[in-house]
Amino acid sequence: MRNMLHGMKLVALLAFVGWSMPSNAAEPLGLNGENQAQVTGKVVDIICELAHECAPNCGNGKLQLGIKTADNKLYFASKSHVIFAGSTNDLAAYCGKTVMTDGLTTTAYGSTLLYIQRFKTSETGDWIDATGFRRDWAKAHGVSPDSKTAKEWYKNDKVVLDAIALHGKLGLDK
Amino acid sequence: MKFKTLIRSRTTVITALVIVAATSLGLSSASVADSLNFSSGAKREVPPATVTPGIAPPTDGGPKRIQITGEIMDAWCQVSGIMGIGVGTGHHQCAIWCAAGGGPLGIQGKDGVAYIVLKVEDRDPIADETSINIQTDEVKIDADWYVRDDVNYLIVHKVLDNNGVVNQNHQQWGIVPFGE
Repeated sequence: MRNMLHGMKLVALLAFVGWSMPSNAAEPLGLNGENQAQVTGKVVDIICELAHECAPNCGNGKLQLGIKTADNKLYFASKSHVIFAGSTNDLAAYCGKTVMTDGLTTTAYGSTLLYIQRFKTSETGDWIDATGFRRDWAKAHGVSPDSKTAKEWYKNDKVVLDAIALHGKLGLDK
Repeated sequence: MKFKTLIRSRTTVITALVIVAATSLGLSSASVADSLNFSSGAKREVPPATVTPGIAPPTDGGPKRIQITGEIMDAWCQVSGIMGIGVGTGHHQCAIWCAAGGGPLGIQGKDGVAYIVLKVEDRDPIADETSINIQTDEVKIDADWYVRDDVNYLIVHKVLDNNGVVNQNHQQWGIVPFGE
């Protein structure tokens, strides 16, 4: 049964990253404490919100970002629509601007995270898949975002390869 | 249809769907089949949504200066449960992938709380070399603790101790995901 549950989650995950988005709201993935989440708010630098230490332009892609709603609720944007990648590459360009996001929240161990699958920058605008990390990675490596190399970026990234060569896959070679 | 037959047929369908989906990604069917072969072990526990920290949380949102011990992890995998596990040696490679991908650095505290780490010793966390190289290590840290809208955040001033990789769970879980 456990393998079935993992298999079903993997099916859903692969479907999300490999296939086009459905026209309706985000589909469930069976995450811990999962809820559908369509959030509208400003893109903010989390450290700026909490500690009032505000880097220019939300940290230029080097800081974790969030969505702050009109009623001052802060969502931590932790995951994008790219396998193994966060959402900063999607949101950084909209620092201080309002976006509408579509995705899921997940809650466990006392914390709630937001998974952004797509977003738009105006009520009447088109949904944009939250694949900014793959777009930027592909550009930096001179390949197409739709190439196998970019889709399997984690197998081809020098930082990853160097770290695994240094640590081993289990981290026991440190 | 008998229950065992139903289970077998559903498993076959799920496996086929995974392989079809993976093929669209260019993954080898063998590696995906492996990913379904999580090692047998203890049944995965459903983690609690709320936990009681070892130290009283800041009542005003923070900051509250604390010292805590826990494991460096990818917070997304741990909180979401998407991979089955989000900590330990079985998840180390995935944690490297996620750290390099700009996923949120976290600490799974020994008090049961999943903390989001926003900074480590003045270094920005996204795809930072330090964040990548301390994945899965058990550390003791001195930090400012903030709580806002159901998220526990840390700004780490100093890593006081690093005990290295302690949580060796790969024999129970194998390497997740993909089994290799």
